[in-house]
Amino acid sequence: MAIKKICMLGSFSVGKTSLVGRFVQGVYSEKYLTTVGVKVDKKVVRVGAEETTLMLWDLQGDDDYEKLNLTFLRGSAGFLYVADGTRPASLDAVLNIRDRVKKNMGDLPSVLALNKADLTDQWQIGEAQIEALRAEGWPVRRTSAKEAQGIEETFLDLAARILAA
Amino acid sequence: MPALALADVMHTLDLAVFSREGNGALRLVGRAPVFLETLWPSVAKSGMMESVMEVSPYLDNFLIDAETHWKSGRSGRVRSGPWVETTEGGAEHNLEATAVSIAGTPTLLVEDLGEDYQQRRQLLQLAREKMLDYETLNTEVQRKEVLLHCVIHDMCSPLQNIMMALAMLDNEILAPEVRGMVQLALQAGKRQEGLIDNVLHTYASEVRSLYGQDDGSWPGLDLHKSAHVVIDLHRPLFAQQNLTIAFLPDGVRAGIQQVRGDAHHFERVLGNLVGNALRHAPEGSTVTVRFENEPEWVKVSVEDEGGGVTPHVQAQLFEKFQQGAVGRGKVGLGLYFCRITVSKWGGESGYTPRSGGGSIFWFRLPRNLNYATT
Repeated sequence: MAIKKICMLGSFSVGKTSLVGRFVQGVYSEKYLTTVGVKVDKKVVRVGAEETTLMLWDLQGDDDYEKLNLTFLRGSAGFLYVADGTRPASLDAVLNIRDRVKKNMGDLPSVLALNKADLTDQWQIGEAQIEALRAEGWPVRRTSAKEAQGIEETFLDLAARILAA
Repeated sequence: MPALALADVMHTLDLAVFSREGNGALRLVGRAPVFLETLWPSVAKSGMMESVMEVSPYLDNFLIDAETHWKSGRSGRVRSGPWVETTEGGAEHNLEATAVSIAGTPTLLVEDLGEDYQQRRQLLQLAREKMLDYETLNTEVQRKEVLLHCVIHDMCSPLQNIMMALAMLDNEILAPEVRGMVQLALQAGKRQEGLIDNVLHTYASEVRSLYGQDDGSWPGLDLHKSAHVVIDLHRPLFAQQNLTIAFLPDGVRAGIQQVRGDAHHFERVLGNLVGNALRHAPEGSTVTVRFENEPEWVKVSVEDEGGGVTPHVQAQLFEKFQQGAVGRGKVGLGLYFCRITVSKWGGESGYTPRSGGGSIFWFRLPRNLNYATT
């Protein structure tokens, strides 16, 4: 069975660990516990007729305190970028990370998850902005780890793009 | 120290020592530490990690860097950074590996960080929670400043027009009852102006101070001093990202300059631009704060060597209520704050693509201290 490495990338506190937790173990915790270093999880998914093991590298958030170590990306088949829809700065951060990653890894399949979609009253990323990102050819999906919205679809979308690449 | 005693020390320190075999496997040297028995019992039992990838993909990835180090023949060590492994039962272990050469033998030390990891995490968590609080507060403050500015502007402009029209009417020949109504309207308008003034005094001290002194008595600005305040504030963050910050004052001399603006808000404007550059500059590049003398202005610019701003985003860069980013260099209210502040001083602000790649965000401060504000 093919194994595909996917790195979770984004600023801190955007919900990368929660998305993996919800997708792999089906669990979610309200408490924010920052990730230090890396945690690797695996999940077997079926895309079409094919079974694939997704190896998910949950990398610590990139910020002024801890910078993304690009050696962690070696062997990646694709990336799941995550931003917090209630924090526009986290989208700026993701765009910045994407540039650094592209420069080092080339143009690999990726999907952008705008997480915390359950916080509708605090949502700050407009539809026009999302459309502009899509117009660049970047798949954008809204997710909520808390309410288990759009998660399976997002990972499967990325898996399909990786297998089709 | 005898070999047996050394193994005991490693065991006591809960440190697994592996030697790299020719076939790529890792051989456990000495006794297996307690964490290894819990985490990877088969490795602890056999003393061998045949397929590192199967046991730990993270460690397997690190071995590429470790191999480079071992082959280089350099002394010193290479560390993997922390990572998390989970036992069959779901218990988490926080590990860190170190590659060293001991008497020419490629050696890998794997340590359970235990308490050290927890302390590191707590510190980082605290720092990040503070950053989140700061981010929230900053956004809220800027939003309120902008909102208040807009509300006051929206209230003042039509009222001024109405008052002007009423004053003109009052100068015309009018029937007494009509003049009475006009004067009533003028009085109501003056009351309305008074109310707006009250709003300003009561709720908008920050907005008023935003524009510095508005009575024509500008004391001038020590641009060098303010630039150094901003640069020094950001210097640790630049160092952390392996960025250089350069200050090129051109012919603008140190000391007080006859330009409009106050130090507090000048530093906030410059800080916003430097902060943006910090976020968008690629590692190893230089961010330049530049002053330029122009006949009627002092131009201040912040240049980065990032990817620049796409043309469709450039037009909206300094607009109000721009939340989030579509392209690089675009931020929420920061640039709008810069624009309204500089504009209130009678200055200008803008964006120019940097030749050779990157962005130049700039603003001009008028030298004429009596320059009309907008």
